[in-house]
Amino acid sequence: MSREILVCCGTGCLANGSQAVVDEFRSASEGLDISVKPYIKKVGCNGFCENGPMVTILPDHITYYRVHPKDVEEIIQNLDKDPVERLLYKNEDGKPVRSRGENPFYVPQLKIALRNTGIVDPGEIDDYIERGGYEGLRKALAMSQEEVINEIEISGLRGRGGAGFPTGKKWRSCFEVPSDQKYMLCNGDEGDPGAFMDRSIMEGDPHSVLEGLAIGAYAIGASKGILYIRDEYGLALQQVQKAINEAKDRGFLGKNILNSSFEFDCEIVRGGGAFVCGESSALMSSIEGRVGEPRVKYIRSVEKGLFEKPTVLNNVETLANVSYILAHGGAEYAKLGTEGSKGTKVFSLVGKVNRTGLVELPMGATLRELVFHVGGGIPGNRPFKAVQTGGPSGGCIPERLMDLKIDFDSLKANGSMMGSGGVIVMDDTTCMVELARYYVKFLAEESCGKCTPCREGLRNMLDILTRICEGDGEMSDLDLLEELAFTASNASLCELGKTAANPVMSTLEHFRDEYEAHIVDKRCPAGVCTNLIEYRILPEKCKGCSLCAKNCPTNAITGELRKPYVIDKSLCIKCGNCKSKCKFDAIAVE
Amino acid sequence: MMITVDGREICAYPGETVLQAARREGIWIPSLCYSEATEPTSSCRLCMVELLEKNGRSKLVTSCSYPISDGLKISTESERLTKLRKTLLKLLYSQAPENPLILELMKRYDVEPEKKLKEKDGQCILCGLCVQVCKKLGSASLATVQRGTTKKVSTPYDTQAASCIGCASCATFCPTKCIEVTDTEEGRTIWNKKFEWVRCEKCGIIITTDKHYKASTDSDTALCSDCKKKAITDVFAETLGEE
Amino acid sequence: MEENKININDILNRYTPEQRHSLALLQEVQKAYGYISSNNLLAISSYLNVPVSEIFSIATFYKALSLTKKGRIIIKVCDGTACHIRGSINVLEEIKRTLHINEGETTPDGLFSIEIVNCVGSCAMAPVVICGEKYHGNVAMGKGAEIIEEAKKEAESNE
Repeated sequence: MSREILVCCGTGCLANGSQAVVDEFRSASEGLDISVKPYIKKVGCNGFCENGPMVTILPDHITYYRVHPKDVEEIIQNLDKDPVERLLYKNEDGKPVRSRGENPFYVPQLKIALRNTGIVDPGEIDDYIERGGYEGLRKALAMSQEEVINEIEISGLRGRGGAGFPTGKKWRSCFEVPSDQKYMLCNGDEGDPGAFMDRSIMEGDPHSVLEGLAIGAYAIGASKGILYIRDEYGLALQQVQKAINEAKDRGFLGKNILNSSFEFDCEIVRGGGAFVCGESSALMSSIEGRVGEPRVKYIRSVEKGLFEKPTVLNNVETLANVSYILAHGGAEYAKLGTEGSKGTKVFSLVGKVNRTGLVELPMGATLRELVFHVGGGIPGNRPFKAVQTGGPSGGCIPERLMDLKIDFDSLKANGSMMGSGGVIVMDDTTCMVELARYYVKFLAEESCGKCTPCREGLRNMLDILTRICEGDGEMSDLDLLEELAFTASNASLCELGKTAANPVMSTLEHFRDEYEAHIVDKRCPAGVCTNLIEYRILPEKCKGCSLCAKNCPTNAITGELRKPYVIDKSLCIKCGNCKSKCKFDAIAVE
Repeated sequence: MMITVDGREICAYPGETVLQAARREGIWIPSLCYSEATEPTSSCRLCMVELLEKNGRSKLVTSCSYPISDGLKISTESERLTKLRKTLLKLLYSQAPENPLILELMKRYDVEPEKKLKEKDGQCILCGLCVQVCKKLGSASLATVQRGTTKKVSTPYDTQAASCIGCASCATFCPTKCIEVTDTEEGRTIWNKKFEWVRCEKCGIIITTDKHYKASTDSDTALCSDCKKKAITDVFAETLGEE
Repeated sequence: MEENKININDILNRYTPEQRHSLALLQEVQKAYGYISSNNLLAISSYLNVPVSEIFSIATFYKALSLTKKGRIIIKVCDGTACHIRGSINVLEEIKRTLHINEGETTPDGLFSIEIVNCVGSCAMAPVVICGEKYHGNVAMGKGAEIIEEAKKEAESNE
C-alpha cells in the first residue's frame, strides 16, 4: 500500500497551524517519484487537541505530535527509516511511543461514534464508503420500518445529548403517529461549556451523522430532515453542508435513495448563539423563526413537534451510533456497556488533567480510569478535588466516589448526570463556591427568561453566591439557596431551569466546608476569590530578581535588586501575573 | 369525560385544560398569568397541581396548560405544592410588590416577603399577556426583549411603535397593572406615544383614541355606544312610525 | 468599505419570504454589515411580513446578533468551563487593561471589541481567545497583550 499522511484539520489543530503543515507536506512531496509519493490527507479532529497539529503515517502507524511546517522535511526524509523521535508522544516514563496503539491516551479507548473521525477525509464520501459507510442505510432500507426500530431497541441505545432517553422508544412513538408529514431532526447545538464531541464528529465524520439521520427518517416515516447546528461551529457547518451535497449527488439523499421508494432531503439551520436552543421545544421554535423559548411538553413532540407535525430530535453522537448499529447489528452493540446503558460514550476530558481531549470508552468504565489512566492524572501532581459531569446541569463527583462506573443511572443516583459527556477535572486550586457561581451566572444569561422560578430563582441565586464569594455571605444564605433550588427543580418549565440548581446543591453537599469558610472565616481555601485572598511575597524564598515587579500591571511591587520585594496590597488587583512569572515559587496566595 | 379533582368527580370536555374544568366547577386554583383570551404561557407556575399517576407517584403539572383526558386524577394541595407556592409568591412579590392579588395570596399562605430577594424596577412579572393580546388584536406592537434575567417587555427600540393604536388592551389584561397609561382631557399617552381622542358627535364623551377607532370601524360618524343605540331606536321609531 | 456595496435586497432575496427564515436573514445582515441597523430590521420585517416587534425580539434574544456596531476586529475570550478553571478571567482582565475597555465595548478608534463567549469547542486547548478569525489556544498570562499587538500590526498592514 502506498503511504498516506494524515494531517488533523479539526478546529483545534487548525488553530495550531495544521493547514500550513498540510501545505508544506504537499509542496515537499511534489518532487517525489510516483512510487514513493505519499498521499496527503486532511482528516478530522483526533480529540487530542492540546498536542496538535497531529500527523499520522500509514501503513506504518506512526503518529507525530506538535508538528510544525519546519518539521515536515525531516518527516519525509525519515519515511523509510526510524521515526523522528522528538515528535513522538512521551508516556509517563518518558519513553517515546510510536503509534496510537501504544499511547496511553488512546489505548483504553473503544471508538464507535468516533470510528472514522481522524481517519477519513470528511470531504471525500468515497473514503467514508470504503470504511463501510452507508452500509447501515443499505441494510435498513432492505428491512421494514418496524424491523429497523426493533434493531435500535435491541441495541439499547439511549440519547447521547444529555437526557439519555431510549432512542428506540422515541422512534417507535413517532412511527405510531399517523401524519402526512414528519420531521427527523439532528441536535447539533452542543452548548455545554467544556464539551466538543459533537463538533469533532460533525467536522470529522459528517456522513456518519447524515446516514444515522436518514435511517431514523426511514424508520419513523419522515421525508424531511434538519440539522440544527451551532452558529459558533464554522468548520462543522461547512463540512456538513459539503457532505449533504456529496450524499445527494451519490443518491444517498433525495428521491429513490439506493433504488428504494424512500425519499429524504435534509438542510442545515444555523443556531443564533443561545444555549437554551439545545432544548428540544426551543430548538423547534428557533427553526420556526421565533425566539428559542421552550414550551410545556404535555403534548409530546413525537406527536406534535416542528410546525405541529410529528418530530424526532436526536443528538449528533446518537446518530453516529445509529449508523454503526444498523451496519453491525443491535445485538453486537448491546454487548458493550452496562445493563442500563449500552454501548460507548464520548467524553470530553478537560480541565486540570495532564492529557485533555476526547475519550470514547464503553459505558461502565470508572471515573478513576478516565481521569488517572487515560488522562494521566493532575498536572504538577496536585491533589485531585472533584470532577464535574453533565455541564451546567450536572453535579460534581468528589474523590471518594471516583470508582463509580460511569453510566446514565449511576451518575444520576449520585447527584449528577451524564449530560453530553463533559468531564471537567478540578484540583485544589479550584474554588467550588466560585464554580457554582460560574454555572449559575452562565444559566442566568442563557435562560430564556419565560418562567418565574428559573429566571428569578437564578437571578437571586447568582446574587447570593456573588455575595458569598465577595465575603458578604451569611449562613442563612445557604437556607435561601436551598429554598430557591427546590423551587427551580420542581417548578421550572423546562430542563434548563429544573437542573439549574444541580451544581449549587452538589457542591453544597460535598464541599459545604468551603461555603462555610467563605461565609464564617471570610476565607477562600482554594485561593481564588479575589476579595478573600492576598498575594504576598515570601521573603525567605524571594531572590530579588524583580521579574514580578516588571510584570505587575499596577506597579504594586517594589524593592531593591537582590533583596526581597514587597507587594503593596492597596494597589494589588490579584491578577496572578507575578506568580506566573516567579521562578522561585516565592509568591503565596493566602 | 370525567376527571377527579381533590377526590371529587367533575365533568370535563375534550380540548379543555384542567384549570378551565376546575374553575367551571368552582374549584379554586391560584394563577396570575392565565387569561381566557389568550394561549397559556405557564410562566408564573402558581397554578401547578399534582397529577396522580397509575404507579402511585405524582408529578407536578401546570393546570393552565395540561389537557383533559378521561380518568385524570388531580390534587390541588400537597405539602410540596404549599412549599413551592410560598417561594413562588416570594419571588413574585419581589417583582410586583404592590399587586393586590399577590399580597392576598401571601396572606392566605402565610408568607412574609423575603428581604434578601432583590427587587426589580417596575411591577412586571413577564407573563407575556400584553404581547399576546396586542398581537391578537392585529397590532403586534409589543414583544419580549432580550432573554434570561434581563428580559423585559417593550416596544421596539423603546420608542413609539408605528403599529400601536393606543387601545390600551395591554394595560387592561395586565395582571399587575404595570403598564403606564396616562389619560387626560386632550388624549392618551401609552408606550411613549401620544394619541388624540375621538369623541361622540352627539354627547361629546370620549370613545377611544383616534387610531383605535379608525382600526375598528369604517364608519364616518363617531357615536358612543349609547348614542348609537339611541340613533338606531330613533330610526326604528321613524320607520315603524308612532301615530 | 466593502460592506456598503452590499444591497439589503440582495440579501433578502436569498430566502423565500417565510417566517422561518427570520434568524437566517438576521444573521446574513449581521455578517454583511457587522450589526443590524434599524433600517435593515424594518426591511426584514416587511419582506417576511412578520411584525417589527417580533423581529426585534429575535434580534435581541440571540447573542450572535447585535444592534450596535462592533469593532472591525472582535476579540472573543472563551469563558467555557475548561477555559474558566484554567484562568480565562485573568486573560480577559489583561485584554481589558491593554485596550482600556470593558467586555461588550468597542475601542474609540473602532478597531477592537471585546466579547465573552461561552465555549467554542476547543476545550483541550484552554484558555482560548479568538481574535477576528484566528484561534489562539493555551493563552497564558502576558500572551493576551501579544495577541492584540499582532492583530494591530496586521490590521495596519492591510490598510
